[in-house]
Amino acid sequence: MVSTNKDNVLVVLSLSGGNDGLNTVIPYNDGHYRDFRPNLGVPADSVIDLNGEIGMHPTMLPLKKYWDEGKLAVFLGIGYANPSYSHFRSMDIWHTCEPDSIGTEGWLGQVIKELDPNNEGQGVTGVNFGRGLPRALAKEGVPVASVGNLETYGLLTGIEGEDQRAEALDLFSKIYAPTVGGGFVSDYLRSTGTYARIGADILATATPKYTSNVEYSSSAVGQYMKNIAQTHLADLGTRVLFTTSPYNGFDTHANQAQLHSGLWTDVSANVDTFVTDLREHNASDNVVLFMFSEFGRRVGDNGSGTDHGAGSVAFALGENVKGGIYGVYPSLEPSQQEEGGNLKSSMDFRQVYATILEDWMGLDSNPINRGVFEKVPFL
Amino acid sequence: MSTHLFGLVDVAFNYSHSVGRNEFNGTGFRNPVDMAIDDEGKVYVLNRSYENRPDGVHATIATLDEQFVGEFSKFGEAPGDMYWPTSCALDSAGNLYVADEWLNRITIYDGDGEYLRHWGESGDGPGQFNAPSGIAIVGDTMWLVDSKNHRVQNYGLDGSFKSQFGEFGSGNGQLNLPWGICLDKNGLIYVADWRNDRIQQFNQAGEWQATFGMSGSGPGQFKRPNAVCVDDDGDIYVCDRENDRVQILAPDGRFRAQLKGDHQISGWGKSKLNSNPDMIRQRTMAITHDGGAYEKAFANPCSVRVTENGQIAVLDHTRGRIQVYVKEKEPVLL
Amino acid sequence: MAGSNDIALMAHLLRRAGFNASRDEVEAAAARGYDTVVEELLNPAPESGVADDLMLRYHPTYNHPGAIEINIQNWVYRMVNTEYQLKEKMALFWHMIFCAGHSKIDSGEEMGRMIQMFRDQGMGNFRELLMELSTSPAMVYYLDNCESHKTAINENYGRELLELFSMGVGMNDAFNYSEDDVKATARAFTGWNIAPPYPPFPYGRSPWEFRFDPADHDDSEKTFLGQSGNWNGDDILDMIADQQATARFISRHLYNYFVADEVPVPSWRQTPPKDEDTLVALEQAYFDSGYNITAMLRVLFNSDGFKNARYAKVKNPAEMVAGTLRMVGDHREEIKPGMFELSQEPKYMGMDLMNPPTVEGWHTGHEWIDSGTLVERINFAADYLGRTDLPGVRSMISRLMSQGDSLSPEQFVDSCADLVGCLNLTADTREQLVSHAGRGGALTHGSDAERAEFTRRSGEMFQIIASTSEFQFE
Repeated sequence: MVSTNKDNVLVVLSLSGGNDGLNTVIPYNDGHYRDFRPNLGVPADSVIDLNGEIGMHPTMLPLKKYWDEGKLAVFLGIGYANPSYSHFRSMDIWHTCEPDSIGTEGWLGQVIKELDPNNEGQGVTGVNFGRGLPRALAKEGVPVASVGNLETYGLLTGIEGEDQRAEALDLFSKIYAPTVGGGFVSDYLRSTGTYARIGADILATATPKYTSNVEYSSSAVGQYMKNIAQTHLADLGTRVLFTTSPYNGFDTHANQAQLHSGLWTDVSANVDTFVTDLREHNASDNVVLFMFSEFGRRVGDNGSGTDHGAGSVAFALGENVKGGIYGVYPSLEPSQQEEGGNLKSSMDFRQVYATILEDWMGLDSNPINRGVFEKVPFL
Repeated sequence: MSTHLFGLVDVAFNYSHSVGRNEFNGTGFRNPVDMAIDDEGKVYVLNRSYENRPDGVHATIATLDEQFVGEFSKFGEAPGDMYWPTSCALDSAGNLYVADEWLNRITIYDGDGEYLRHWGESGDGPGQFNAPSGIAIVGDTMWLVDSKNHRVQNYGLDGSFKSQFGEFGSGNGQLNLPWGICLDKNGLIYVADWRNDRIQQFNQAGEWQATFGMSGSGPGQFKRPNAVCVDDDGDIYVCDRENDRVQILAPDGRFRAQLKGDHQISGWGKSKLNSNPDMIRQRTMAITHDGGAYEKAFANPCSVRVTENGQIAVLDHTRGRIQVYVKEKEPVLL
Repeated sequence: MAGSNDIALMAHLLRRAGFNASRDEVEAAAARGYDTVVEELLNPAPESGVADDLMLRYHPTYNHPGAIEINIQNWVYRMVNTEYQLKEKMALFWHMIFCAGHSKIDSGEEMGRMIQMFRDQGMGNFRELLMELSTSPAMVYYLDNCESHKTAINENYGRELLELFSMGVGMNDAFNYSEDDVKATARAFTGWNIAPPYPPFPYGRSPWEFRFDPADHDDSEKTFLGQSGNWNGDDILDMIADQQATARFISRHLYNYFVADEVPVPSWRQTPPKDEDTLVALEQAYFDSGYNITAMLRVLFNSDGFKNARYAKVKNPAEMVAGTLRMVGDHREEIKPGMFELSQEPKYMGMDLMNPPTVEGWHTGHEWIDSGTLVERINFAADYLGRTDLPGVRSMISRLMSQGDSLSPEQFVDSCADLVGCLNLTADTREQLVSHAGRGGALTHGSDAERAEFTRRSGEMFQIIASTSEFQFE
């Protein structure tokens, strides 16, 4: 596919485990918040105020400048009706837009299919950073590379010695070259092997080209945000870049005060580094970063942590994002809470998807969202 | 005054309360494997967790009246880290010794969990061990079960090797993947001879004295017993792990009683449920269905300790809690 | 003494009826003889097949594991280590047909118990297996039978029982049952429910229990496949088990799993099977034995259709992972850390064990492979086959050396392909590998230096073979 670095690009950071929305964007003046969070309430004087009513967790300080610049959109009460409290199921729902039946096609897999219907992107139109393909990127016939580590990604990485490996890859190309009369499955395998090698070769060019003045942290989020920057800056035609924070890390059932602070310190610092990196390379204009989690957590703390809940928060960040607060904070009033002590979601996640799909990727959102959802005007 | 009933002193073991809940960190335990309790009732719990949740591997400090004190160490191989912790014991200065059966080392922390030092050498020679499991400290001596070499070793607390006894087998004095160890007030050594389904008693010279139990699930029989403890009366407490019970033997080895678990929800457990009202209802429905049997019962009890003030603490591996019992010499009307 | 044909046939049997084997095991089995080994596979003891007590000791979460990851880890460990390989292979077979997934069930332990049920019942009577399935609390929940009531039925289980678990939609272009039969089935299974379990907090879930609620059961008359009566679920199972369509459906699945890749299930109504004769023999065994799966497997493994179907199937990810580990001999002796990461490999290759994408299961055959999963498959197998310190690989290299003081490139390539499971390389692949081997110079192992180089080149050749498209088959 012919690419210019001005094609719009979507970066998604999935916060795995169920981020506690209530302690991320905090209704710090709400008396109920104090009542329900006797052990975990963030003191009002430490939150980063956004509008006099709500504020961000103190560890999110690196993101404040984007708020001040008007580049950070905050979505309140995001979720879906009849929430699932299973990590897997709820993540699947966010990934497939299928809350009622089990879906197999990912929303971003469909995006990649629409953007690159003939697979001219050699398998790098969409790239996942992490092992194993998240369902968001799954769609039959859409090759998406899953990159565990961009610096070492490739075929036959276990062969030691540069010359030996180069020779082995050369051999690989020959044994996967098209042949006559092998039959359908054999032809399929040969072309798939060839695709895999070309895709790996393309991605392998990203890290040698990359130079930067910024330093990502050595955490998984830091390294994958760096890999995303490297891939974007290499101008390979990649339009969708996806990564997931360490599996279930946000699942803060206990000792949350310490864990949650550590998680947001890590995420905030690396997101800031990422945007700074792109800005220094003059490559941030065409990027939107979307951050979400599969669910929020219970309103009440359990002594030292919080358990699986519903309505939460999500964020979008980018030069073209219209910063601000979108939606209304769900009421913490006990009678307004949902079954089980949860915030009632006031915005469907597919409303945000609709905006991204229509106004950023230039696609019809209804088939992907499997329904019509009112857009949120943040782009 | 106790009396006799059917040939045994009629001592009762009454459930007192529980400590803990299942949790990867903070106010709970995750697949705890052993504990040590100091004179003030402060309890150190080793959490083994499992491979995809290395964040659950650490030690928790709490009290037997369920106050959370803190946690220390983490999963890893660096000095002070834990990999496959198996057993722990306190010395008279209040330092905690932790055996790690994958790293083949003994790590020493102070009473607040600060790393001090470690020692240990892998192998099967004298002064080497392969998968240390149970440890017991008496004075300036550590008795260590060298499980994969099927023997018991004696070390100074600085790791200086003194002696060893035992070999692989199923005869008297022979061992098969032994696990827990303790000493009674007379200095006799009790070893949970895990894969032989029995407890063996040795003197300090390593000479076999007695064998208690055999394979099975009846009174006085064991299925993979892994921990043993003896109180000042000489009564022997055994975690009969795969039978999901603690058996109490009289000093001569006769079966006295079994504990199957009598758990009542703990304070930490309550605060967990209070923030999850739907689960309060689900739990109530379940209790209506089974009369509360499931929650009461031990599930792979893995460590038993008798405290200075006579409490019997049982670490309940799969449920992440400690059930505390009291040995009642005076009659108590339930 | 087993000849090379016997060894190749035995390697084939152990790949299909189990999760592969080391070269030493293949040769030992070949020496016992094909018929003997088939009977060994068909007659596992009721015991566990792995040292459960050691697992409880070194991975203590083995006791009532709640987390799904531990259940998957335990399963992959079992695939690699169980003495009763066919029993485990059948557990996977039924999991790939009787699909239920963790993303809905949300209890790792219930998924593990369902697989244990397949392990225990998967080689027995098919009607009994359907009974176990219909009373499996995880399945009752997964397909909403607990939401199906006398007053308002939910057809989900009734439909999938007929369509995906027993009869199939149709064959020979005809339909096997009607929508009314689906409704009758759903009504017959009303009241098949689950007793309330303990929630996960604060001490972990209790195992789920099946419970029949007579008051919620629709006991009125129903007509199923033309027969009328006050059918309960077990009556329906009796009738299902006796259908020709059921015999055909199970036979075709067995063929697809053990012999050669078939077209996807939704095409079965229109597309005739690849090997009608073998299917007819399997169906005959099904009825002759009173629906006994082991009897069908005996016919299958002794059929020429099976024996000749070498490398006619794309390995599924579990076969790739467990088969590679069994061949190279890692995680087969001492229980050690690292099984969790390994147990995630099938997921990276597109098979999230215990969490199939839908009730229809995974798309198999060449659909296991796309450019992402191919990279995972190749790198996994190549990394392990290149580890010349592992016992299985060491043994393969010493066999290579024992073939002569100096090997020609042809001998070297042919022997390497033979040692990784009697692999048949296509002529052009073989030619490329021979020419690669030829460029490396003489293959001798007289001196220590030569031995080291021979070892390195052997490992490298195994790695290259693992990267071939031929190696993707089994």
